[in-house]
Amino acid sequence: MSRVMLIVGVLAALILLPILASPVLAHHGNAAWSATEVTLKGTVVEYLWRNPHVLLTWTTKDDSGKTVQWTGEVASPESMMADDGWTKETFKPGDEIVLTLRPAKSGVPNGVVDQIKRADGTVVMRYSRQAGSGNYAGQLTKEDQEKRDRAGAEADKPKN
Amino acid sequence: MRNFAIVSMALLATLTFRPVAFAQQGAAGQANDAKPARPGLEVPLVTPGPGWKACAHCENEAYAARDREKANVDKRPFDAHDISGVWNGNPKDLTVNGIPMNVPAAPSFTSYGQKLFEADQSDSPQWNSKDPENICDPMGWPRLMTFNFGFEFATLPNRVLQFFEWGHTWRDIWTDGRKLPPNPPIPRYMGYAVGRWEGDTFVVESNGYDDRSWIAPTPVQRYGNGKPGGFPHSDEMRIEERYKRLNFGLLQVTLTITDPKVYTAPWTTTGTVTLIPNTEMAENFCVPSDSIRFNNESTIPTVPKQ
Repeated sequence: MSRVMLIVGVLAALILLPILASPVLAHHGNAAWSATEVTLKGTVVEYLWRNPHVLLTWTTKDDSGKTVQWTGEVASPESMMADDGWTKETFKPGDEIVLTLRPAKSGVPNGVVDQIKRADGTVVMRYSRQAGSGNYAGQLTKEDQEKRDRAGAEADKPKN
Repeated sequence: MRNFAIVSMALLATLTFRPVAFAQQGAAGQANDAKPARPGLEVPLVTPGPGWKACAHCENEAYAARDREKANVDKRPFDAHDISGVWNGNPKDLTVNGIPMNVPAAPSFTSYGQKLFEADQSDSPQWNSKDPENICDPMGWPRLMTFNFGFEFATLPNRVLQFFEWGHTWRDIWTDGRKLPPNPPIPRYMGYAVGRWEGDTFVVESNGYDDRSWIAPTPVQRYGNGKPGGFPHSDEMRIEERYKRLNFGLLQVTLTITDPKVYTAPWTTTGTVTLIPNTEMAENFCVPSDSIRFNNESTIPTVPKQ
């Protein structure tokens, strides 16, 4: 298992090297995140409008109806203000949202968020510098997606 | 030990939640052919209120470009000895935060430098676990040049103050003719600095650095067995900076690090930083309690097991 994770890390880092060299990603590299996005409907529990990165906590129901609490990170408050016009009042507990995110490979209910819509379909986050791979939140380019898919497929191949 | 416990809990959570994460994989992973535009003037500009201005990093590139155009930065007359204003970004990306170190030009380490470098390496390829920034230890100089959310000079009769938005901190650059201290009694994260004008170039020399800061973090996978870390320095590091205003809207910075205890040759980085008119510096602290919470909730749990 550790060998597979190492290979995943190496492949992802090779692809994402120009991004990882950026001072924006000061905390952890994109290798921690899955290459595949998921979409979750959620109810906001907490909106932490703080450095180093804004954190959103929400609850969502899995296929069996069980409620799971997730945490998602986006960029810094200043970056979210610039890119999406966010303020300290953008979310409040109880807000219904739909998130597109890349979950942590470690499997914990945690992800880097690429896009957020409100329940009525209004896009409240279209773009995030934290999202990585070209910084295009929620809408990967075909090329980016293919790169991610190739990296994932390589990493999943059985190794001798 | 605390981190170890958190990682262990994360592993337990892995077993618990993995099916959830992938059961709801939806259509969002499908790629669009068209590359969406970067944010522009359609995003509302957020300021504190009437009479207040956005901070340089609080407006997107479209607003920064508009502000530069309105100020006619390329052709506006300027005083080469006036380097005031909020500086952030570079001509290729007005939202870039700081001038990155010229990592490809990093000199070889001395044997002592190599030991420092290895001691700074992370225990994970995916997280720079020993980065002093993780717990908001001071970035110090010159790392603050690489990450600052904008800086500003204020000229006083006897010194130039260089303010930085990140950390809400400053340097005193003494211009009253004093020399650098030969043996500073207390090392400083920001060093001891003196400045002078050579023609149209403001030259800053500094020494007396606290050796606990990093010059810059190393990019993941580029150095040392794939594990991130940082470029170290010793308390004997000396730095020369040269600031030259190329036009009203561009400031060229050349920074040379000399630290024979750690590096076998001087290390020079040159960059150009852009004036972002119509903005003002904000308060942007690295808050230890917030950063530690962030590490525990959104970084350490996501670091895969080695």
